[in-house]
Amino acid sequence: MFVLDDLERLHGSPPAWEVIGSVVRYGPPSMRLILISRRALGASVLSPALGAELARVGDADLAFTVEEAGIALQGLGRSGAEAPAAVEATGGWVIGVLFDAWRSADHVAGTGGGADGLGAIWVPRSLISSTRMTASF
Amino acid sequence: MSAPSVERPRVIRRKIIVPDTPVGAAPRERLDGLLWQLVDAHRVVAVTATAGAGKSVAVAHASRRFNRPVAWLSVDATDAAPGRLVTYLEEALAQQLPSVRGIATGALAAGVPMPRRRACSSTRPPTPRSCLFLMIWSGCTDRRRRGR
Repeated sequence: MFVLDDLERLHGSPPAWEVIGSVVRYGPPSMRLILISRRALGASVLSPALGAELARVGDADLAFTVEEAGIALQGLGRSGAEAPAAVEATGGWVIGVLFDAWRSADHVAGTGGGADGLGAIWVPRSLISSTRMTASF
Repeated sequence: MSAPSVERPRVIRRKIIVPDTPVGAAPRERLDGLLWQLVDAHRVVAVTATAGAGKSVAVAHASRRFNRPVAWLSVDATDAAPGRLVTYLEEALAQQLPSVRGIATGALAAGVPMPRRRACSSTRPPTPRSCLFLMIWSGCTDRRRRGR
C-alpha cells in the first residue's frame, strides 16, 4: 500500500500533479493507493476512467460520533458528558471537538472547519499547526 | 557475487515513514474498519477533508492494522519540482521494495526512453520494477512532450 499525504501542498504545480497522476494510472494492480488532501483532487489525478477502482472518504466519514468524541474527551481527562454538545456544535469535526472550538462565542453552531478548514473558528492557527506536526511526525 | 550497490539519495526520513499517531489518541474501530474495507475493495482511496478532520491520523492508525506493507510519503511544497518528487516517490517505495531504488531516478538521469505501457497491462504479469518505472517516468515524459 502506498500512502501519499498532504497532497494539497502540490497545489499550483501542474508538473507535480502529472507525476502523481501517473502513479495513479500506472500503479501495479496489486498496489493500493491512499491519497490524502485537504483539497479536492482534480481529474488529472482521479480520472473518471477509474470508475469502481476509486473510493472516497470525506469529512462525514472522519467526523467523530458522539461515542467517539466521548472516548476522545475522556482521553484528554475531560468529561465524556460534553460529547453530545460538542458533536452537535461542530458536526463532529475532530479538532473542533478536541480543542473546544464549539465553546467560542464566535463559533457558529453546527459548523466544523468549513470549506477551507480554518476560517470559521477561534482555534489559533499556531495551535493547529503544532497539533498537525505532532500528528504527522 | 553480490549485487551492485545503489547509492541512496539523501532524503528527509520523516517524510517517508508512517507518522506516529498522537499519544493517547482514541482508537476508532469504525474508521479502521471503513478504511480496511475500502482498501480491500478499491485500488485507489481518496481521503479529502478539511484541515483538522483527522485524515492523516486515521490512515496512519488504520495502516498499522492492514495486512499489507505500507509505504508512505508526506509531500511538501518543495516536492512541486517533479525531479524531487520522483526521488521521494522512489525512495518511499524502496522502504518496502528495495529493488526499485534507482530505477526511475536512474532512468531520468540517463535519458532512457519510456517503456511500452503494456508492461503493466493485465495480460502480462507486472513487476514492481517495470510498474514503478512506467508510472513515474510516464508522468515526466508526458510533461516534456507537451513542452513544459
